Amino acid sequence: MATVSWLRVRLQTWRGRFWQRTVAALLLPVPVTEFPDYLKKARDYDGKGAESRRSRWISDGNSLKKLPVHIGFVVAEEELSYTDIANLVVWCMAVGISHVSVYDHHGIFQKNHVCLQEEIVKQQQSLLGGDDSRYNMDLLKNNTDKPQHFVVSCRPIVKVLSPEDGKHSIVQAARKLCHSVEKKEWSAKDISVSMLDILLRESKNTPDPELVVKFGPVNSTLGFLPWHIRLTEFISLPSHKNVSYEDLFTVLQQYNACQQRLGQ
Amino acid sequence: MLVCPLTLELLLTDSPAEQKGQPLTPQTSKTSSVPLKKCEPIDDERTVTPQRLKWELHCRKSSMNSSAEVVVIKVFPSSVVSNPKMSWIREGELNLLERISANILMAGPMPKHVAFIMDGNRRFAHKKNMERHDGHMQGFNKLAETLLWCKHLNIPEVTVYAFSIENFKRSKEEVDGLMELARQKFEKLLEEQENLEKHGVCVRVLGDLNMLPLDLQQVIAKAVIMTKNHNKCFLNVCFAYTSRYEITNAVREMASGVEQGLIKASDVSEALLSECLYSNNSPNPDLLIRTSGEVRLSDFLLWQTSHSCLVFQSVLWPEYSFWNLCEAVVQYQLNHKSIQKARELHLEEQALQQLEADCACVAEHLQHQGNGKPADAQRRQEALRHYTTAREARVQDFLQSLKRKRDSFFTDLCSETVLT
Repeated sequence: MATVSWLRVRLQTWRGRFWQRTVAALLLPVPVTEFPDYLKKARDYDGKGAESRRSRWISDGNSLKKLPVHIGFVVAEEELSYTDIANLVVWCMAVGISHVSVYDHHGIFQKNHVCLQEEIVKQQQSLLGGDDSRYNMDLLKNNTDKPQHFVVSCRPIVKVLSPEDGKHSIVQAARKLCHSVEKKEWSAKDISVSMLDILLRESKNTPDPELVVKFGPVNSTLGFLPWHIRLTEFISLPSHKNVSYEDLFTVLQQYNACQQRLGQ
Repeated sequence: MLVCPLTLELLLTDSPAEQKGQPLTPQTSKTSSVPLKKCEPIDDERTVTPQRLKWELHCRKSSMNSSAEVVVIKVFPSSVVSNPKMSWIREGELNLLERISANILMAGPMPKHVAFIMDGNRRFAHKKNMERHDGHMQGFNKLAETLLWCKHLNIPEVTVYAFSIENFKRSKEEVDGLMELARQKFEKLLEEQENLEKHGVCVRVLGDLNMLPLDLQQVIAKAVIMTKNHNKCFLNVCFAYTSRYEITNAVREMASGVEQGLIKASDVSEALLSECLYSNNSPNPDLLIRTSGEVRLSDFLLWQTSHSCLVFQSVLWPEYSFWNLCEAVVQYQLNHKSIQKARELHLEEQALQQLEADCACVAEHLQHQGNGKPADAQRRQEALRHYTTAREARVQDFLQSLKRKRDSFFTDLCSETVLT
């Protein structure tokens, strides 16, 4: 079962209409036997390397006092690299970040979410290797004293977002509320921040992104989830192309050093 | 190391312009026989604390000759807050180097609207061993200075985050201090009527004023009404503000428009929501600057800055300089083209969404009328045109009634003061 968990990437989109389609496609566990041969070879060959890498990533994740539960990647570049984003997603899973959102302001990732999903599965195989369930259990025992944490990290949720998930979704929530006011189900006075927040939150378990890594030369959120980035820390990297694990870890360390006073 | 002077004299004075006079020392200290040293006054008697004095002495030590036996620090009683240093409007010119740099900068695209998160006042106070209140005071002085720089850089609109709804969670002492500071500053603003008129400064306050003490609400209302027709530069002060609250408030306004039958739920759109925000009179900020090294928006203008250039600078707000501002403007200029492109793309999408929404409404309408029979293209076109015009008229009516409601909130507050 643990194998299935590792291989299962739930690629969700923020919006309902994509949801059904993607969930149907993605909740299917990826059968191990269907992996192309070259991947298997790479895995066998790389087995040892993957093992040490993986334990390093897990211990890196544990070494940080504070790890975001939800990380966003905003790509503000013209050319998109699916492989690099897939790497980032896999590294996030490995260090124990359970929610990853990927965004570009043209909505290209969202249009091609199938490509991205395939790429993630591929990179997961080549970076993490190991489709042996014993393997996971061993790691669990040796490298972490917080098994719960590890289990969570096994089921990461990847969301692919576009500008439509931003202001547009706020407008839709507003329209919905106004419709119920029209039907006299609610009164305008009843509308509160928390009410809107619940409407804009797909599920109770998804927190707002605590950290957004922005790639590219443009210093702007370019429409990324305006409602949800109230307390989000923004850290920039020059490009997502050829981004390394060390780059990501440096960002996580930077995030670790951020202190929030929450108005106090 | 701090060299303590032999005598420390506190000079309580009535006027900041006063250089000499009978020292009205509050507690101990004998009358000085040594000529008064020229020194910077402390703003307010209430701000005098042991730490503050230590700091003042430390600062002055270098500028005084070491043989000074008496150090005179002028302290103003709290009733006198007419220190010209604390005015909203500063007069003054840039120095030569600043002027040259400003001219070079202004050859490029300039932001029309800059938003500031003035962070770091308390850290500054801590660093300098001051009271928190003094840090806030220094922060205010820096704002006045920054407004002057913006004027010289031809930036007509500035929005600042003065007080968040979350800030009410701070200690009662600090919240009261900040409310008092705001009261003083807005009262001061009222005294500066002539100056504000001369520069054409319009001051707006964005936020839920109902959360503030009534007397502060009234002073704010007076200041807003006094400057509302000025149109050369605009200062928006976000007070008792968070962006989520602002967005929620806009939704609430639209819902009450629906309740009153002014608009339909289907009229709710991105453009309409923007018009219902507190910031509806301003264009979106081109540049958002946050000082003190924090890299988050802290619930400030989330909606309005979705296509703005964000610049995070590590300097503490009271230490902000003209050069820091220039650096941020350069950042804006480097980003200008791509952000402009993204904005245009977003506007196109917005227009498309509006069209889609209108079409959907018309289709539903036609289906009702035609008992499910499909309408021909020409009839659909006409119905769409008709529907769009009607929707726009509804929305305009609604927005006007919202504006009247908001205006009367301020005028009512003002007339209440007259009555009391």
